[in-house]
Amino acid sequence: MSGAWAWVILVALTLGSWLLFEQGIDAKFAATAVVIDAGVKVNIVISRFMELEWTPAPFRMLTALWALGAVAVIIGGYWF
Amino acid sequence: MRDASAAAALHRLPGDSGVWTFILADMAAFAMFFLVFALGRAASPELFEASRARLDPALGLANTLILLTSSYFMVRAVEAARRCDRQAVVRSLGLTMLVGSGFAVTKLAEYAAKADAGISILTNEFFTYYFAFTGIHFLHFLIGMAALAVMLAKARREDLDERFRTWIEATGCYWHMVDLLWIMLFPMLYLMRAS
Repeated sequence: MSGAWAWVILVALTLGSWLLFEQGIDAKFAATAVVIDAGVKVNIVISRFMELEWTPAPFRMLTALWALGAVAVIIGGYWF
Repeated sequence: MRDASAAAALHRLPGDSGVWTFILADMAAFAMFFLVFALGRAASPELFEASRARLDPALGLANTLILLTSSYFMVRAVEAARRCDRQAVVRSLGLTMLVGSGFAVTKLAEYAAKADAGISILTNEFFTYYFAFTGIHFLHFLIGMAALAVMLAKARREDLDERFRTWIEATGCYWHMVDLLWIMLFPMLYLMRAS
């Protein structure tokens, strides 16, 4: 994925989360979806912009776990 | 165009280990912030929802798009440095800063609007976290802008050698960290409506 395509996807995901927020759909679904959307964006920034896709797997896994943990914690605080 | 072969050949962390130590420590600190916020929200959902509704999500959206676009120009600057294309490095770093400066404009406008509305860090628990987390993030943003200004000056007068490439990679990774932290703060603070 080129940097330009990564940017296009990141902007599309951001606008997608905005639509989820703005539309009158179920609030819990929308809130959960926008945080998962953010986690996906974080992983794109880490792998493509920070170029960690080229680094050894353990380091990539560490940063992916950070994103996963952040998403889980934020959603957990909302649901419970 | 992306210089993927150069990056692939490196098989190492971009920049240097020092900046990555800092980045990982910062990411760990923000993970704690997210946890503290989540616990607060779980304990006082009505207060957090009422306070969230007083934020302007359009400004949060604008800041997300600003940082994503600024980050993209940073990627182009690093790629240009690997090609030893000084003109492109200077242009891309300039665009990174120009677009990125929009973040300061909207953030300061947002803080001013909150002050006009009588909202401060002492208003309630939500706004304590809001001002603390976005304030610390804004400090990171200012440090990033200063680093970008230094790199822009270096790009104009110094050789685009291995040392310069290490510096610009490290600056880029730091700038992307500022971006990714905001990517998580945006939905957490602005978009998680309760109804």
